[in-house]
This record gives sequence, C-alpha cells and structure tokens, in this order.
Amino acid sequence: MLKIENLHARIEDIDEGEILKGLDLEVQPGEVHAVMGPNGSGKSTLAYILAGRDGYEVTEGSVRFEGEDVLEMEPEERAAAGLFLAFQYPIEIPGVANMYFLRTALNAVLRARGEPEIDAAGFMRRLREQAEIVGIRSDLLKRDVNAGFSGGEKKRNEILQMAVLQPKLAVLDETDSGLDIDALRTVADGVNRLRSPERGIVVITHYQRLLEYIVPDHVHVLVGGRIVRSGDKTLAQELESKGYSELMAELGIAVPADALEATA
Amino acid sequence: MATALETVQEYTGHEYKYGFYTDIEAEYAPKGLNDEIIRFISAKKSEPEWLTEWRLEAYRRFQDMEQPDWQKPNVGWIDLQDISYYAAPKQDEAPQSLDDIDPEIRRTYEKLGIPIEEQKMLAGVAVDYVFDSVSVATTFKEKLKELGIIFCSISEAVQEHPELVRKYLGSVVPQGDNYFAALNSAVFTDGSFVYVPKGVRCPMELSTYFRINAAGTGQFERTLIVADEGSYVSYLEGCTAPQRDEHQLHAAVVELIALDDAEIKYSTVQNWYPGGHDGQGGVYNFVTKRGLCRGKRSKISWTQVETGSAITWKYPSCVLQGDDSMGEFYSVAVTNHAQQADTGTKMIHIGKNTRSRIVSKGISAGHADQTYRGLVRVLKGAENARNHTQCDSMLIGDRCGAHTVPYIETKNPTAKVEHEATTSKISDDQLFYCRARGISEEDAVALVVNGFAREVMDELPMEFAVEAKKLLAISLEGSVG
Amino acid sequence: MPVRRIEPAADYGRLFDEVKGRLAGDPRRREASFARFRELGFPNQRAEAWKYTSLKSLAENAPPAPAPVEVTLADLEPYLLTGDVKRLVFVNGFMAPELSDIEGLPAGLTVASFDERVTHEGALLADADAERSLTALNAAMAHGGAVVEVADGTDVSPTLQLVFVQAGDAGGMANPRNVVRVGAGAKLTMAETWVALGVAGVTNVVNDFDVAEAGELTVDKLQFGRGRATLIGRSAMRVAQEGRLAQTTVTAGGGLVRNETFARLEGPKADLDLNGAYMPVKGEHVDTSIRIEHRAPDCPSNQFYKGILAPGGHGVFAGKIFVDQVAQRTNAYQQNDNLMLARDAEIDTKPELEIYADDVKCSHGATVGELDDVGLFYLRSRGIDKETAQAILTFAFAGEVIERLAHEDSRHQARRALLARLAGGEKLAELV
Repeated sequence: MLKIENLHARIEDIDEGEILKGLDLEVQPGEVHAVMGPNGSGKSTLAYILAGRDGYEVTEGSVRFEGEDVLEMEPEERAAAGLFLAFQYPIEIPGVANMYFLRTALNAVLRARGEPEIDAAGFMRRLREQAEIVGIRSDLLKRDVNAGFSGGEKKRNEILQMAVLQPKLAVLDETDSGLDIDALRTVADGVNRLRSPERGIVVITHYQRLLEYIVPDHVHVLVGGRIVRSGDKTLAQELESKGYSELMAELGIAVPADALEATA
Repeated sequence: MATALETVQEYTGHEYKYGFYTDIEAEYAPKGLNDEIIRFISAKKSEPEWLTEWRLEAYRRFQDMEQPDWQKPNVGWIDLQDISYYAAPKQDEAPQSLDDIDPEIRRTYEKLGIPIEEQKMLAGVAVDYVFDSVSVATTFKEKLKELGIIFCSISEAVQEHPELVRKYLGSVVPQGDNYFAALNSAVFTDGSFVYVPKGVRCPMELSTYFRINAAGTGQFERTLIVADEGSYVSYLEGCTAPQRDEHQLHAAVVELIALDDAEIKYSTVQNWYPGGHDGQGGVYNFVTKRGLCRGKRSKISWTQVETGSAITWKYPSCVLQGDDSMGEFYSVAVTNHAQQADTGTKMIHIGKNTRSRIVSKGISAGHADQTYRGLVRVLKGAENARNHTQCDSMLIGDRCGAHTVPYIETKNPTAKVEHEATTSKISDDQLFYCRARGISEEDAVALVVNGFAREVMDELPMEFAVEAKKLLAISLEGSVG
Repeated sequence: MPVRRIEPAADYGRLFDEVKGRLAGDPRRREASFARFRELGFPNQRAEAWKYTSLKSLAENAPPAPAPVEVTLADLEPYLLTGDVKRLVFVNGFMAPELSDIEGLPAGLTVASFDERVTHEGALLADADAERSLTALNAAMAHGGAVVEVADGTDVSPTLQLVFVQAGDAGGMANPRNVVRVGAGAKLTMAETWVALGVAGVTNVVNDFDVAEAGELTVDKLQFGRGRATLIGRSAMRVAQEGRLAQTTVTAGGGLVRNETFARLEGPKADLDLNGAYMPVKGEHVDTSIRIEHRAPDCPSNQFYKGILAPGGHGVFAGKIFVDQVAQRTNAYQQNDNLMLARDAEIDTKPELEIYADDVKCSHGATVGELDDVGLFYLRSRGIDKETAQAILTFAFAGEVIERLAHEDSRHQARRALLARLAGGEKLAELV
C-alpha cells in the first residue's frame, strides 16, 4: 500500500545537504514495520515528509500510497486518503476543544471519502468507546487540544485520534519517547488493538523497548538517510544487544560519533 | 539585617573620577550661533565650499525647527546662543607625529587611563583622541593604512578623502533629520572617519575617546563609518568630561553604512559627567546614531553601556534596507541620583528576511528616571521580517522610575514581532543568599546587577568589558537615599 | 511647541446651536463646555495619544444633528441579551421607551435616563478630563445615556443592558453620557452594546464608572458597527479598596472605533481586569487606548487584548500601566497579541509601562505574527482543509478573550460576529 522508492530529501533553507539519501521502503496491508535509527539518521524527516510538512524538499525519488503520488497531495488530502502521523511532539492548540477538533477532523475525512458525516451523538459514542480503550480520561476530551497535557497524555491523545480516524496506514513517530513503562504499555495496547489485516503501521523509534509491546513483522535500520539493513523482529533484539555502533562496524559503515551518543 | 537599600547607601561618597580640568591655552569661537560662526568653523578647518554650503543648508533647516518636547526627561529650553561652538587647544601648527603633542594633553589622557601611545595596554586598539572640538591624535594610522583602512579625524578625511566624505556624509542622518542633528550638521567640529575597503577584516578595534574640557562649550562631533562589501570593523567609543556646575551640551551624529556582507560592531561606554547628586551640572547627551544596512546580508550591531550624563537622550538605530540584513541593539543603562535617560532604538525593516534583536537592561536608582523607548517598524515589502525585543528594568529604591515605551508598527503579515518586558526590584533574598555564601554586601549588589546586565555585557569587546563592569558598580555606589 | 490640534469646522457651532434647545441641565454650563471644546480643538496625530488615529475628517466635517429614527425590537433582536435582563435603549441618543424594559427593578438598583437626572444635578456633567476635547464636546451636547446606581450591599441579579443604536444613514452625532455607581459591597453585571444599523453617524460617548469598597462591576462591551459608522468612547473608571471592575470588549465593525479607558485603582487591593478583542476588516480602524493608574498598594491589574487583522483592516493598541510611588506590591500584567491574516493590514501596538515604585511585578508583552505554521499543519494532517484550519485557529485565538464575556448571549453574539468576518467562518457555525 505504501511504496517509497529512492527517496532523497533535504531541509529547505539549510545548506546541510541531504538528510534522506535514497530510502526504499514498502509496506503491505496488515504489516507492522519498525524503522529504527540513531539520532540524526532521518527518522523524523521521513515521518514529516510522509505527512506533508512544509520545509522539506524532496530532491529525488517517489512516495506512492495505494498507487497515488503522495508528494503531490496536501496534508489534509493525505489524511483523507487514510495516512496518519502520530507526532513525536504533539502540538498544543489553546482555545480549541479536543472533542471539537476530533469531530471536525473526522467529518472532514468522511466527507472527503464521500461517506456521510457522523452526528454529534454518534460521534460521542465512538469517542468515549475509543477513549476508554486508550486510557484517556473524559475530562481530557473537553480540554483544549494537548494544552496542559502531560507527555503521556499527549501521546495517548495521538493514539486516540488514530483510533477515531481509523487510518489505512499509521506512522508513529517516536511515540515511545518520554513515556514511562506504564504509559508505554497503554499506548502499545492501543496500537495493538488497531492492528488489522487491512491496516499498515510504521513504528519509528530509537529503542527496541517499544517493539517488545508492538511486535513488528519487519525491522529496518535507518542510518545516514538510508535503510542499511532489514530483517525480522530479531534484528531489533540484535541491535539492542550490540548497539548501533557495532552493527555499523559490521556493515562497514562509518557513523559520526555524535549520532550514536544516546544509543548506549 | 541591612536591606539592599541600606547596603547601597553605605558606600556613598564615590565621586566622578574623571571630573578634573586641564588648564590649557585654548582658542574659542565667540558664543552664539549664526551664519558667521558656521563660516568661521568651516574656515578654521579649511573646508571646501560644498561643505560650507552643506552646513549652512543644515542651519537653514534648523532655524525652521523647534526643540522637541516629546521625550520623558524634562530638559527645559536650551539657549543655543549661549554656547561657544568651537574650542580647541591652541597650537601654532598641527603636530607632525604623536611625539609633538602638547604634554598637557598627553597628561590628560594618561590620567584618564588611555595614554596616547601605540604600545602598552592599548596595543590592540587604535585610538582617535578628540579634545573638545578637535582631534588631537590618532594612533596606528600607518599600520591600518597598509590594509587600505582609513581611520582618521573627519576633518582630515574632508581634506584627504573628500569623495568618500561627500558621498556618505548625511546619507543616513540627513541634515534636517531632527533638531539636534540639524544643529550638529551646521556646527560639527570633529569626530572620526573610518572606511574599511572591500573584503578587509579590520585586525584591531578602532576607538575614539571624546573629552569635553573647556567650559561654556558644547561638543558636536560627527562620526562616519563605511564598511565596504564583505568587510568587518569593530569600533569603540568612550567619553568623559570635567565636573562643572552648568550643563554642557553634547549633540553628536554617528552614521554607519554597511554594504553587502559587511558587518559593523559599534560599542559605546558613555561616562560623561552625570552632574551632582541633586542635578546640578552634568552633560546633556543628545545624540543621533543611525546605521544603514544598505547591502544584502549586512549587519550592524550597537552595544551601549550608558552610565554617565545628566540627561541621555539617544536611540542608536538600524535601517535594514538590504535583504537578509540584520540589526542588533544591546543596551545597559544605569541612572542614579538625579540622572535621567530616555534611550532605546529603532529597527526599520525594509528588506526581505531582515532580522533585528533588541536587548535592553535598565537599572534605576536614587531619584533617577529612566525610559526605554523603541520602535520596530515593518514595512510592506519586508517579507519574513523578524524582531525580538527583551526589555528589563530593575529598580533600586522607591524614589526612582523605570518606564517602557515600545512602538510596534507592522504592515506585513509574514512578519513576526515579539516584545517582552519585565520590571523588578533588586531582591533582598538574592543579596542575603550571596552573603550567606560569604560575599560582601557591596559585591553582592554588583554581582546581582552585573548578572542582570550580563546578556549585554557579553556583547562588549574584551578591552571594554572589564572597564564597563567596574563602571556599573561604581555608578550605583550611594545609589539610594 | 508643535501644534497638536485641529481647528474644528465652523459647522460644529451650527450643530451646537441646533441641538442646544433640547439639552437638559444648566445652559451656561453647556456653553462653557462648548467654548472649552472650541479652544482645545480636535487632537491631531502629533498628539501622542492620537499618533495612529486621524480625526481630521471628523474635525473638518461636523456631522448633522441627530434625529430620532424608528427602530423595532426585531431590528435589535440579534444584539439583545435574553433571560434575566433589564434594558435601556437609546436611538441616536434619544431614549426609546418602547424598546426598553426597566419595569420591576430589584430593590437597591436605580436606573434613570441621564437627561432626567442632569436637570437637577449639574455635577453629572463634570469633566473628569478637562484637557480632553471630545469630553468637552460631549459635556456640551450630552443627551441620552443612563444614570445607574446600586445601593451598598445590593447584589443585583438581572443583567443591565444599555443599548446605543445608531440608526438611519443621515449620519447624525449622538453624545450619550453614562454614570454607573456601584455601592460598597454591591454587585452589578451590565452590557454596553453599540449597534450601527446605518452606515454613517457618530457616537461620542463618555462613561463614568465608580466602584466603591468591595463593590463589583462586570461589563460586557459589544460593538457592532458597519460602513463608516464611528464610535468614540471614553470610560473613566475608579475602583476603591477591594473593589473589582472587569470589562471585556469585543469590537466587530465600525469605520472608526476608538475605545479609551482611563482607570484608577484608588484603594488597596482594588482589582481591574480589562480584556478585549478587535477584528477590523477592510476600511475599518479600531483603536484601543488604555491608561491604568495604580494609586494604592497591593492592586492587581490585567490587560489582555487580541487583534485579528483582516485584509485592509487597521488595528491600534496603546495600553499604559502607571504605578505611583505609593503603589507597592502592584501586580500588573499586560499582553497584546495580534494575528495578521493578510496583506494590506496594519497593526500598531504600544504597550507602555511607567513605574515609580520598586516592589512591583509588572510585565507586558506584545506579539505580531501570522497563524502558527505547525498548528496549521497539525490540523491539516488530521484531514481538515486549509481554510477551515485557519478559521479554527483564528477563532481559538479570539476565543480566549470571548470566553471572558460574562453573559452567555454576549459570547454567542461575539462568536457569531467573529465567524461572519472570517473566511471559512460559515463552516464553524456550530461553534457559536
């Protein structure tokens, strides 16, 4: 369903060269892929390019989602097409109630798909159901989007949005960062419930930890803007025991020391 | 336990240490302002006809203007006819080298701690010494000349480089810009001139030291700095005056021009005589300073430490005309006793992607009154202009005032302008904490104030930073009553 | 001294002659005020308080005398508060009893028309600001407005709405004057609504609000102008010890709207809370000018103003906090944030502090910018189209102020007016 070929990209207005240097990735419905990499390897750049954030320039390659050219689409068109990004740093929007935000988003997506919009009562039912599953207290639904939420609450709110919007492909960008073990479990449970034969999931992470809870079908190691190795879930364990530096050494790839600082 | 106020009170009695007078034979113009005096000054300097006319034109404009009254300090009407517009140490002929300088003048600068020599403590700084209305010496001229850098008095530049002076004089601050700038344009006597050629990075700090000595005079210097494409220069300005009971007027004009990729860093440590504790005497420091970032990616940075003068009234500004150009203003102003300061900056964003940053730290003590007044203006074409202003005031004692008057005018939707300001007092808790760690009370006050001002002090060149730090502490001695 | 006045057009003399026959109160006093006005003239833009707002057109063209115009309740329906509300309506300065409802006022609350009271109490016309020419003009021609008094200790339950309607396209000038006195420990919530049904005309209103010890006054100020309709308003406020005055202003429309507030905190722990949102669109100019004087210790004050500048709109904010030497432990806060939605908009903002006491917490901030890119992207990544996302964020931006309006209908009206001014606002209708 998702096919990334030879993706090259850089950040606009910064002369630091390409961050992605020929990335290939293919995801089929029902699969969970983990993309692991050290700091600065291009993980978040990949996530933002998939969602269509301004400020990134794709210099080469293509991204297709169900055959459509994703790079030509506006962010909201991607969402309507069923692509979802769970942000690493969810944005606070003071003054906009979480519930209103979600309903507006859901109806926009439904409209774009030519499906009937959901009424207030139907929406509330769906929301409360999902909120319970991902462990979101009902008062958070009434509060403004992410405003004053704790780190864990923000991440859970992302998963709630995913549950409500029911995307075809979800990209989770470092959803584990800043979570304690209990929050991590809740978030992972939420994601696991959303696994289905129709849905693809890409988990972007630095650590293997999250993958104990969301067990991937495929693991890819992203270093220096390229997938340098792919394998099954055992690759994540191997990476955990060896660390990025040893794995890189085996692969004969030079990695700047600072990129590996936080991997120990 | 002593409070912060009492502590500061304890070490009163510090006197202005630059307040002495040099007894030297001087030549004065008669008091008064008219066409004759202007022609006299121009003739004294053997100026070309165009410059005499330029001055007279400024005077004509000046006559149509009124002394402004919008500023916070109460200046009162200044009788400009009661001032002598020219005072110069008498000399039969111009000194041919640094060795020919009058020993009295030499001693004056030694006492001020800036001897007229090219070695010793000022080895890394070239200095232009301005004594009343004239430049008496400039060091390292020859060395700079080898790099094509022109650093001399403006009088000399008029003679030696008339094409440069004519091209740039008044191009940033026109003759009729404002009341005091017009006055300056008519009667300016000396000042410094700097030209840094294309691609040259000036290897040493350039500096002018202004000294008002004579009584009944004003000082009207004019400084012009041109940084050609890709060049860099850092310029320092220092000032003192004798202690006198009448006010003295200092109305300077400084113009900076930065072409493509050029950078000018202009630092001032202003320590004019602040007047007595009850406001008798002291210098009126009414200065127009403006930099034009004419070229793309050019940068002008103003840093000022203002501790002196009875009344300070100045707004070093940047006109950001070139795309991607940048303006900065870092200021620490200390007012104590009866001092008043109304100072700040203007950032005029004209070009695309222009950026400006303003950091102002005001410290007010005694009966002093201080105002930050700033303007950030974003014109229609200034796409993606950015400004950030941080403006903090500290009050020491309950009889001083601290005021903040920022103006923000924006006509471009892509601009982002942010202004923040806070006012606080020096805290007894902080002082106590310092003392509990073994720091004396007076050091603690200096420490807290220096910490408050640090962001700005860090911008000063090394040569001045130490001096400026001491000056801050001294200025606050006996600050509160 | 530079000249800071504009000579009023000779027609102002004719205007005064025309209206003075129907003015209540001491005619000599009226004449003296008019002479004072002529002497002061209109301020020009060299006067600091009028730096960004021009009265040239008003000075050079005296509006005609106001005339009563028939207005129905149905015309006003969108602007009226419902529920437990008492109401006084003035049309072009003339009281409209058929539109008003002040029957059965609770004990302790008196509401009278200004004209009725000024006949016996000349002092009601006293100029708090003798130097302000527009106040002198109002004092000369004041007609219409209300005198509201709340007796000590009375907690007034109904909301009192004062409605000032500018009707007809003839463009007359109304000069209402309101006096509100809240007694010690008393409480009142009111709404001051300005509605322009016509596209021209001028309202030059002067308010005098007085809150006694531990009294509480809450004001919703709603302004619905259109066309070239002009509103110039001045509110003088005094708050005594432990008293509280909270006002939230929402300005939606008007060729020229100038809201001046001059507030004094006169006793310890007096509390002042001023909020406002303005959203000028093409051809509109909205100017907010505030001076808060802390004249006693331990007083908190707050100013929270937001501007939304649509294409061709011009906003001005000048807020000043003045802290007297005796006002130790003042806690004053001021924030002015502006959102520029487009080109050809202009915002001039001047948040000002003047402080003479050292033990104070005063801070202010001002920002000007576009909508946050990241926020927009976040909404769009959830499937919301760009225009709607912009409208949502803009709405949320103003929402923080609108929520501070006291009456539910006020909030409702403000939201509706805001959405009507936003591209894509119709898609958010359910938020009203």
